Amino acid sequence: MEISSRKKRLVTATILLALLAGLCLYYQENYEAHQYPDTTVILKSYPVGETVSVSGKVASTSTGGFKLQDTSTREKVTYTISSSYPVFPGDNVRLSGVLGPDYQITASRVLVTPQWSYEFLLLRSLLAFLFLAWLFNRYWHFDREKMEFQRRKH
Amino acid sequence: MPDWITHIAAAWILCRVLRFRYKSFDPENTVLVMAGALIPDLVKFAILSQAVGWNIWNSIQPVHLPLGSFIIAGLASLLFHDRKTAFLMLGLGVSTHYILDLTLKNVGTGIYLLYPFYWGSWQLGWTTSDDYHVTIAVVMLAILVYLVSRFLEKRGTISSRF
Repeated sequence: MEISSRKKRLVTATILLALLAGLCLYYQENYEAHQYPDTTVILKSYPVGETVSVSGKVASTSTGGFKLQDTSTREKVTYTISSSYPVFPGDNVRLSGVLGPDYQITASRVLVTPQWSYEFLLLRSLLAFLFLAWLFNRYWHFDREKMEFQRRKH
Repeated sequence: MPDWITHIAAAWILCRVLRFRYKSFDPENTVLVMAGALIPDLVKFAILSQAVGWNIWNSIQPVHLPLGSFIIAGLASLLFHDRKTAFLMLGLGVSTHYILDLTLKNVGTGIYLLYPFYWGSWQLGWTTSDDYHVTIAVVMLAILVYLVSRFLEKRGTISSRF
């Protein structure tokens, strides 16, 4: 491969990476103003009375609600959720609702993914990825000298 | 996200149908479209970081937004000789991903399709990401398309590769 072509690719890659980094930084700085507060925001400013959106695993259930543990942050947070939605310990839950004192949330929308269903989703996705990797390798190969993928001849 | 079987199968169906008319959707390019359909889900690397206590979802979320995904498709296309075609195929795969993701239910906001120019979000809320009935339906459709294309191959209407 010509050196100029390699340089051109390197410059293009650098520009694209810089653009992507810019998009990520801009999102990180501004997303809070455009969506319901999540656990990160709750830990920072605790917006009581506002609609929040959190997710986690059901730790235990009780009459009229359940305990939801969000482990997405370094500090584990356990919410007390008021909801009539049927859930079971171990279920993955995403919900939105009004934040009360002491990490209580009155849920308005609840999405439940049972643990087995989540694991089944991951398993079939893994199988699909392996199949695609095999298929890609069947039709393309990487030329180290040219530093590019080339079609295999069939 | 629907599962990756659904994303890959939907991309394959689209390419197989388009191939009836356009020769450029050959097996090699079809694989690129299928690979492109998984590009937005590179954001799932955040799951790994979450396992060690780093919540980077909001730092890399643009990877799972159209412009970010197209930039990654652009980066990947630099690794191919015919970059323009590679980018178009990967980009088509990215587009199929968002069409499928739009059908999902969400408790918060939807997908910021026009980020960073506009923060409006969209979501149709028809199904959930773990609904395997959708997977079965898409795989059945893929089998149907495969059988029809095989039938047409035997009649010599289209090429028999892949």
